[in-house]
Amino acid sequence: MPSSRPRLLFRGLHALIWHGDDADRQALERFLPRLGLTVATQDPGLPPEPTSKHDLLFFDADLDLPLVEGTAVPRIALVGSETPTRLEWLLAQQPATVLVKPIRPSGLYATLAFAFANFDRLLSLERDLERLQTKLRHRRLVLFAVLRLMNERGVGEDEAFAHLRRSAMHQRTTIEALSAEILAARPKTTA
Amino acid sequence: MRSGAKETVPVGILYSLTGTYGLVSWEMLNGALLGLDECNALLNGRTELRPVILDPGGRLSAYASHCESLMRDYGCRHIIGCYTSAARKQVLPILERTNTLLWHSARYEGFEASENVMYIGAAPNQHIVPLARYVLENLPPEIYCVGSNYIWTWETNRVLRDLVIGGGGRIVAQRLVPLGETDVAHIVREILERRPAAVFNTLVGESSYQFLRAFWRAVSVEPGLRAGDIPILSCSLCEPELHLIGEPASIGHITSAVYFQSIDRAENHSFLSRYRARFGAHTSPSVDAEAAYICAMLLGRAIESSGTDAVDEVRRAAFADSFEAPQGPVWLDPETNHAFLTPRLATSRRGFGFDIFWEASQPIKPDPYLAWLDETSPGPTAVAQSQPLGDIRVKAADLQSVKGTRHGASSTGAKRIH
Repeated sequence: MPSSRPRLLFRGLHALIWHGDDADRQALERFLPRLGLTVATQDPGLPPEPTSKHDLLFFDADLDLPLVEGTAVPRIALVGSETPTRLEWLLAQQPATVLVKPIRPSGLYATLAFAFANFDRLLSLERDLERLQTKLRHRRLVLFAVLRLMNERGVGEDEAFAHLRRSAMHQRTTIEALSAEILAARPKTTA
Repeated sequence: MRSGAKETVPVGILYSLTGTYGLVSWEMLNGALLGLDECNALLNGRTELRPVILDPGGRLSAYASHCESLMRDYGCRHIIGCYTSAARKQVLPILERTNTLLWHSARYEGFEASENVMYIGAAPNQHIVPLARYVLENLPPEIYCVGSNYIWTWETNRVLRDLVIGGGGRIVAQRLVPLGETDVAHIVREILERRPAAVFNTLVGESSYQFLRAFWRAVSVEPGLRAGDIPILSCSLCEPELHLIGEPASIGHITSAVYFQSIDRAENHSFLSRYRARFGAHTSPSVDAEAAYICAMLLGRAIESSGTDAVDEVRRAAFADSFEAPQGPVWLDPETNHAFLTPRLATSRRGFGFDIFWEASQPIKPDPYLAWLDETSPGPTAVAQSQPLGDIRVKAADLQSVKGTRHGASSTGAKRIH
């Protein structure tokens, strides 16, 4: 779940700027500390050190930088050219948001806020998706466990499921895990 | 500027002398003109700073066209002006495109740091934060917020709310009225019913004056309530407004500002007498007038020391300067383009002035994005750590004047500041 209040305070975060040393990079280096961030830079010739401990990444969207997919931090694209070829490449990198060059102080604060909000939302959606996919995979197990309980206890579907849920709660486990246990531990006796 | 020949440097002045903000604007114009006069004396005939005054008349769209005109038709590279943030946002793109400088005198809500603005008015950590800290340390933190419905109110209320709630207090209510609204009777009634420990007032202009008068009338006939039992806090109430409100409704309100006429410094006594000699004994220089004066002085001194009005050279010279202003030493922070200023808290008294009961022991570094204010645990200690407000100076007379407006025990258990 995303936190109820969005991140609007960036003090103490560390930004890496992967961009050539020009007026835009220097402007970012000057403006980010006002918002409480520390800044490191990386020339385009080399990828960032794998050990780099940054909390967000600014990268030059005008070069085909070898961005690693699914980086664990929000990525902000520094966009000069808006041609379709560049945008196609850029969209494939899935940045959290973009900042249009030339870099000005206006817009930077909003860009940071959106980058973190978008990134958090994406993480949260991915977590939800994984949870739901697991649930979906285990649905067959739950279904068979309910059928088993209905047969054994001569109860209806609702009661069987309620029993399953209660037991799972008492044993502090999930319905899915308990279902798997029931099916594994008590093999079917009827042919 | 070539050496030898006398040159004229046009300095744009862009305040709405007519319209809603006319009153404050005249004081800012006076401050700027006084500063330019004094810089001309400093330049000793080598160069003359010539004010070019345009009046946008309170119309937002006119700020952009007048700003363009100052650059194009009058050759200005420097403008002193703008009072509201909306007006400043109108001229920002022009300033950036033409690489010219706005010397901005008004306090504002922060969250901006253009390379083409010198922010001489107070940043939020220099006005709202000291006031919030005062609330936390001295009042049961149950605050009623009333304000005009625009960005200044929204943002100052947000900071106050975060600090007060973070310090264990609460906002009793927040009531917003349209800009210029003068029907405030229902708000006065609600305040008397709910009896908050204090009211935070961000109403502007006539709305605020009507409110303060109505509040005084209501309190004076309310059984069991004395004037000052519910103090009214503000970041904008200034001396010329006290005249407009009229006594006794103008008395006993707490204001946070970097300048009051009652500052006891030789530089301020001299400033007041020069100001009144130039513009008349009836004039009342406010925090905005002092800020406009500082704008002109920092600009003129930078032109004097760099020998040109070219923007990059002036900016560099201004960053190296420190000026003994009426409020105390003022200098620019190259990191944010905002000024180091000295916050103060004062209570309005009889005679249309303020008694200062607290002042920072030194100028405070500007923090326009409140990046160094810990909003998650903003107790007085946290605030003090992120921005040392320093010793508290108390004068016996001030103490007396404040007693009437203060509540008893501090619910936070923190040290009282008077």
